[in-house]
Amino acid sequence: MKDEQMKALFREKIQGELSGLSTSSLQQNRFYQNAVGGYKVKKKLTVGLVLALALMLLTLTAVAVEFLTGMQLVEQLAVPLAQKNEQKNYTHEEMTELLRALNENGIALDESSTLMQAFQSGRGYWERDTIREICRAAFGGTENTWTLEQKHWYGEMLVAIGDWEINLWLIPEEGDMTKEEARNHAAKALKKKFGAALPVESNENWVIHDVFNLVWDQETNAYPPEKAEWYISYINRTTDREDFSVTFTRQGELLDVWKNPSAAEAIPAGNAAPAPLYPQESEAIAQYGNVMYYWPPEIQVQVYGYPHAIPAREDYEHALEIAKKAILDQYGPDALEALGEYQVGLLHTAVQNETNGAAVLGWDFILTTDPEFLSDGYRVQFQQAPDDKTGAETIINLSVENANLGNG
Amino acid sequence: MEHAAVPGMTPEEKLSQWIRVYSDDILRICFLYLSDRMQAEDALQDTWIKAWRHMGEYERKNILNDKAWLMRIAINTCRDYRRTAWFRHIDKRRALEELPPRLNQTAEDDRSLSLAVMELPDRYKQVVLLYYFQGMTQRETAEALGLSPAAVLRRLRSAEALLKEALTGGEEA
Repeated sequence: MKDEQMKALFREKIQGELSGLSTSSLQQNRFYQNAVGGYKVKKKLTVGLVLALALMLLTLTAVAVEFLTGMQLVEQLAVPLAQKNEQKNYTHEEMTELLRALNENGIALDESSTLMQAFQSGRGYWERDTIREICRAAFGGTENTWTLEQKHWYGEMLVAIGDWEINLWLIPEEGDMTKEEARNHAAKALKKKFGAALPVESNENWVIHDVFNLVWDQETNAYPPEKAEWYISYINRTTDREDFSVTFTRQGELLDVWKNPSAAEAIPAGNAAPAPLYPQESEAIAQYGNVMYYWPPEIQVQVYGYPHAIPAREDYEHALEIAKKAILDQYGPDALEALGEYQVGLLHTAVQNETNGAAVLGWDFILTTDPEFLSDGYRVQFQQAPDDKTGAETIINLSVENANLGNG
Repeated sequence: MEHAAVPGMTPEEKLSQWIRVYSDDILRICFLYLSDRMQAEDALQDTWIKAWRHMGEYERKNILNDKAWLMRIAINTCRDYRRTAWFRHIDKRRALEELPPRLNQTAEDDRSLSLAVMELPDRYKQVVLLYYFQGMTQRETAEALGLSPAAVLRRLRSAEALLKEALTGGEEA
């Protein structure tokens, strides 16, 4: 087979296998805003999260207690449950027990997380990811922002549940540089290479993250302890961007001393202010909101063009009935009633079948009470096309999803 | 190159166009590289941030193959992510299971090729992703990875052997 044919086949197969992995236009809009303007991703504030934030603000002591409680809950409940369970995931019942304990201790997980979506739809969830979510709630930030001790402890928990074979996160031992010495080493390297005067403690300008971990060695297929590496990075508080980093071996040998081009050097003049991604789309968002499903069909057509289409009234009503029936068939007769006063959003397309010229109508309905975040409700997609032989209406590619539909 | 940015576009327009045209491809490359959807989305965001910050370099060097340039940024970003070695322990099969359903689902939900690619050692995975998945030439792949075309060819042949082994269990297909 020729290389070009191989490439085409390979690409087609992988694209097919990963076709569910894609970005929405809202995500793309966010990527753009984040790239050019340092725009912060809007986090949904849940009642639980607000409560947790309020509790955290009460006293510093309360914060310390909360951190300990998170660790204790992992050690005393999450890990033993995982060890008892032969699977790699908690059952829904185990998740119920865990979440109840978290709730009683004032720890709220992000309700829009995949974990909570899985739980709310009656499923269990992966043990490793559940423990990670608890730690993120307890420590704040992500693994990279945690202290060396927090990372190491987290690694111990992953070893305890059998997810890791060995703990990759290290804390310095006798004979290793201390964290302070490692930071000094990094700061000196940056001073020497770039003339940058950087602190060894986080301050009002810089947040310093430290990583000390084992590194996979491809030659020996192992994690040789002597090849452990330090990775010290400096996050600019103003831009929330990593501006400097230094990687070096356990013995202090520098591997990489890196500087991000400063904002002034990197951003061409005049580009500092974020520009609208697509003027027409921005106007539509300003007028009709973030979610394109709720824009009038003529606006969708105007902004996105073919194959978007404006449905005839009777076609729309008929299609909506099909969508509702699909929800009832899959989720039971009370599904929509339980939702309450939902709104209906729609993306509609019309294309012509290349073989017989027949019109194929695409319907993508959203029924939700939360158009802004799509945190509840149903999405129903299907196509209508006349049968080749009889001409009768046929429904193809029907799919129904529930819960959080993803707003990027 | 298909979808190349139109000359005379402003940097903002170029970035907008790239994000719209290349985001899904880059996300999939990052996923295959990192085996973790959340990390792949982070890497995609970082790719766009780096592309924007280096737009001046892109303009100055008059880079014609914007796709190859972006893929190089994406691969380097993923490589940086891999410096935190715990990625090694990610259960790749599980990462695939957690993906949203395929758009054109066939009777058999087969993701064997993706899994086989994800299991490749990094040095082979890089060339496979760029050469086969992105459809780059040997020379473009070599430029993107800082290798010689001969080295790319050697790695491709080794990667093909490993993929064949993974997909057929060593038997002739």
